[in-house]
Amino acid sequence: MTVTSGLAFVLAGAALSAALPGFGSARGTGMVGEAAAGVITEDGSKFGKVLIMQVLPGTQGLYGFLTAILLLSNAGVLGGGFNDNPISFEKGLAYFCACLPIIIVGYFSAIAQAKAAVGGVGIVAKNPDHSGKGIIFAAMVETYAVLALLISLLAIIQVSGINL
Amino acid sequence: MKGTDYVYAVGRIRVKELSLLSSADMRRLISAKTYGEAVSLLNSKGYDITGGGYADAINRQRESLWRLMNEVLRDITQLDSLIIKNDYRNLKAAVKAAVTGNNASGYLTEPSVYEPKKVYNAVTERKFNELPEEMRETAQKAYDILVRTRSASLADAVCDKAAMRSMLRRSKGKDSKIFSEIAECTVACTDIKIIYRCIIAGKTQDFMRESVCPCAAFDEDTLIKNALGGIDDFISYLEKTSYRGAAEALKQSASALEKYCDDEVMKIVKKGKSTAFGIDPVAAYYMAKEAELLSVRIVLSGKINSSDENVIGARVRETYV
Repeated sequence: MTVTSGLAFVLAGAALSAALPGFGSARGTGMVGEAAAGVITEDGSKFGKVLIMQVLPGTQGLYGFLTAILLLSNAGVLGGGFNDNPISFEKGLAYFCACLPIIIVGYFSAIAQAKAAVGGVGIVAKNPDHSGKGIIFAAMVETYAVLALLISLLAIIQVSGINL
Repeated sequence: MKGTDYVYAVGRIRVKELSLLSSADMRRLISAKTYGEAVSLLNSKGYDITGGGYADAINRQRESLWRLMNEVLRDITQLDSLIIKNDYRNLKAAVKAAVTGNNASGYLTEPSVYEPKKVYNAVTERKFNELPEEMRETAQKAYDILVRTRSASLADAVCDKAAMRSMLRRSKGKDSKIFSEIAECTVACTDIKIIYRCIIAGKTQDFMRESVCPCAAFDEDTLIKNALGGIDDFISYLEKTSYRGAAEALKQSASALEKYCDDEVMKIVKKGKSTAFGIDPVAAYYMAKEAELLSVRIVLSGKINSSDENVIGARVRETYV
């Protein structure tokens, strides 16, 4: 494998795509898990409902992982083909920029979603019949993580087709 | 600590809030025909009032409340501004015991910031240096007043003022503004109640100055000047302040004023219901449960004495849920 400055950008993009949304999701699910544990300490029958709340901020980590895999695959780092087409500085930078939406939005939306989900845990604790509303509140935040994921994926696919 | 550090505590508290007496529960309790009916209603809510009487059950509830607070909070000193008044209540009991020679150890109140027995022993043995630093001067002053003048009310006033000062000081720099808001409101309301009692008892300006704790709501000199003019001047003055509701309550009765003061604090406490992060919901639950225990005591003592339903209802505090 020929090491180029473009490759460094690709690896940085993949690493940050996996790391920051993953870190946000870990923090988020941890935060909701703490709140859920508080509820379960007093009322174990609400486990199923609070578990759904805890899962919600975990998706950003998956999105980051997916982006990193797609990037590494398209850049030829995974599955071979890299030596035939070494990545130029410009292309590497373009790949890195393609990752920025999920890197940034993934991290912050995971934290924001976790906060909404903690509020949802409060709804489950006091009024389990309305837990669906709590899920909707938290799921609204997901929209922006999904949009960021789409842009990152589309950009990575487009960049791979450009000759730079 | 950050607000997100309290999510476990808030989760537990949200479930515990379900067991608080609602306003509908309280109405049912007030309209209970007999003491027995009120007791069975409370027992269905987990009070476990048995042959030992309601005082034991309320004490057990209070102990259980404090145990919960210790379990959910990593730093229990966050609540010290809410309980410091109990320490000064213990100090008052100890000072009186020291002067009269009676045993008042049965009147010590918990939870408290300082070990009640230590405070009691230090005062009754006149070892004021063994008291917590913030209490030494107050204890010595209250003791001297009681020995010299035998004025229990002045000695109490000195302790109460020190308690309010300590509450205000401790409420600053906490993880939430709710503590300082509760402290400011409590001190302002206490000042109103003190001044009202001073007017009724015909106390002097010096006594008032010794009793009133400076707070943001009132200018001390103006408050005392109006109080010296009599109850009408005092009420007129209150009507121009943010505590104009106290003036309305004063026109009704002293117990209406007591209720008004507790309900004003409850208005602040209720902010905890709509907060998902931070210590506010925990502090609010603590205050709400304390208010509930007070209301339960009022209702049950009313039922035992066959008081009129309306009289009991007028004294019962606003509920949190």
